[in-house]
Amino acid sequence: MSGELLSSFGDVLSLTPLALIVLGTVLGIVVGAIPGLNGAMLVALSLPLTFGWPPLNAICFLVGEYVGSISGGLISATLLNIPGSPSNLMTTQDAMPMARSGKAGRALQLGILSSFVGGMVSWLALVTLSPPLAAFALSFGPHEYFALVLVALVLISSLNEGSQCRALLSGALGILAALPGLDPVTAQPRLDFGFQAMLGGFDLLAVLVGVFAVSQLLQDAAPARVFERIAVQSSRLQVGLGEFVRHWVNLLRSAVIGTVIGILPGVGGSVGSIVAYSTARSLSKARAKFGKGSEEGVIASETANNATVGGAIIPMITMGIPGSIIDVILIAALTLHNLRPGPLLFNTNPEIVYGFMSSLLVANLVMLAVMLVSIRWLARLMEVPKAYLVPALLVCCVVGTYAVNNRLFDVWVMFAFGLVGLLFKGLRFPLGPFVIGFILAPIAEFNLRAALIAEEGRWASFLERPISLVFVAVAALVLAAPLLRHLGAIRKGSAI
Amino acid sequence: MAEAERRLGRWVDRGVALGLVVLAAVVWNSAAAIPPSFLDTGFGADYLPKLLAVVLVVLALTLLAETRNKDAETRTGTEPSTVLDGGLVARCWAIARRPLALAVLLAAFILAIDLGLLGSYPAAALFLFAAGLLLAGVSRRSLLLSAACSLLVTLAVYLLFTQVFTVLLP
Repeated sequence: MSGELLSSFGDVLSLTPLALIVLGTVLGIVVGAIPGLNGAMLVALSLPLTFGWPPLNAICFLVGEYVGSISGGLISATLLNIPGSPSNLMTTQDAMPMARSGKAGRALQLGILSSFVGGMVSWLALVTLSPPLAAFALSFGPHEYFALVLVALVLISSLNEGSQCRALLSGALGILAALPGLDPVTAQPRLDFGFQAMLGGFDLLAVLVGVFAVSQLLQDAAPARVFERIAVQSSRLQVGLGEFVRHWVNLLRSAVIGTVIGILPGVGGSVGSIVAYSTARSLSKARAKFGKGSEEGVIASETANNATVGGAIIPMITMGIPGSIIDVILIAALTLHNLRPGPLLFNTNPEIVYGFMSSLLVANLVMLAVMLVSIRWLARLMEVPKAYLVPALLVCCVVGTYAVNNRLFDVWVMFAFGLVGLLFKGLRFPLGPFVIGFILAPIAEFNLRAALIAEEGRWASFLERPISLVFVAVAALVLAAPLLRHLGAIRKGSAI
Repeated sequence: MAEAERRLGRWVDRGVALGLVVLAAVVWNSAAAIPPSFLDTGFGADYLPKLLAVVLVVLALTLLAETRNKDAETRTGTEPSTVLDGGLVARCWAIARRPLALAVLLAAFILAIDLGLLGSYPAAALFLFAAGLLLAGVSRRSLLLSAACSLLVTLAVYLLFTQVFTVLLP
């Protein structure tokens, strides 16, 4: 493995891939720093551009955007009290109070250094855990794959903020959106409602651009609140290395939490940052300072959200199950290049697998350098007038979606799913389960039907195989958890 | 006012649940119309759509039950009951107005290309100008900026997609 990893560093550090990592990371930071724009939107919007590139170049560019966007959100979280992306939500709790008390530069630098540490720890996990996990996943049959998809959908539904029922509905609707077209087993048309263009189903890219980019841009058109804005006075380094290293326990703990949560299918940076922040607060000696400008709070949140990036790539490249929403788009990128993420990728295209690993490390280094050097200028990005940016990005959505298949039907699909995304946001239905349902539906359907045909329709066969049984049990436990908590509360109430 | 918003939300949820049941019925009927294939195993093209229709109905009923529970909690609570007022609707409209107007502009942009009324680039320039004015408001400054942005962005899209990536737009 080490030989392949080293050789992939050689590939990634050649001129074009390296330039694409730098460009992707800078773009990601810029988009992350502009409130209202986010990484998923940027990565979805960039997919059509990468269509004709060599796969490694596309990966370098998209991974750079992923890392940059997660890190860039720190800037608006600190200076505007608006999380640039959901994963920066907890950063606002302490970074903004620090900024208000004249420590904006220090809060930003702590966040940047913590993001880097989080990224590096999760990179180590990616490099060490992926090969054995992929070898383990090779033993999966249809039963195990279907049960795994079930776990992924149930986990993302239960760990989402808000109603579990809405999240499950969102996932079910995502699966439904993937069904129109020719049946993958019998090639019979279904749910096409007589439209010839529907026989090919909804194009993956059109759906992703619609759900992530168009819906977000339409939402950004709503009148915005006016926020307090704090300027960065100096970009001089205000955090000493020794002083930073003193936080090593918090750094390591938050990085491990972020990585583990990243590995859970479909659960991204926001949950990682919330859990790490809560843990840091409950274990801190200066608990009362949390929410009022605690450095520990900034470190925990920013370390964990960047650590989810490497963690989330692990299930994606080893099993083809997205670890976060942006990983759904990375799977789409691989699919566009005729590559299928999963355990076989290690044998068929090791350069892609190790390309992910090495580009993640390089993107983290680039992020650290770019953000530390240009923090004062990056802070000015928040002044970009969205009245002119939003229409320009919508035109890119239309042209980019058309460019992939040269079909205007795909552009209409993109528009329709943009409205669906907007409606989901209005109705408080999370978008994550929808896209994960959409991308996992073909795997789920193929494996469910293969398993049931082989076992003559016996659903009990899912409980007769140990790995499948474990997955089904986890899914059942997670589904039943709210009910168990409710019963526990009732029992406690009656005991009192 | 917060209670009025919650009540409106619960009525919307009831509408959503009803819509989902209707959708499930449409999916079931459409799946039932698929003829069995010559390799019929009992798990054909109609299997997952039907299964999903059942799941949708179950989840829609759960959503209704959640709404009912919240209603019951409100009735037993101490907060005085409130009626939906015009102010709430006006506030919702104030938030939704511009995104909806932008969506209509975007649809008109795509439709103009689809029907061949305008070429892609003139349509894009017009859309950029109109959307800029919609979002920035009409003033001499926004007129100038919207016009400049529409020209520059259209030129950039032309150079990037048509010249660099050789995509032929309709």
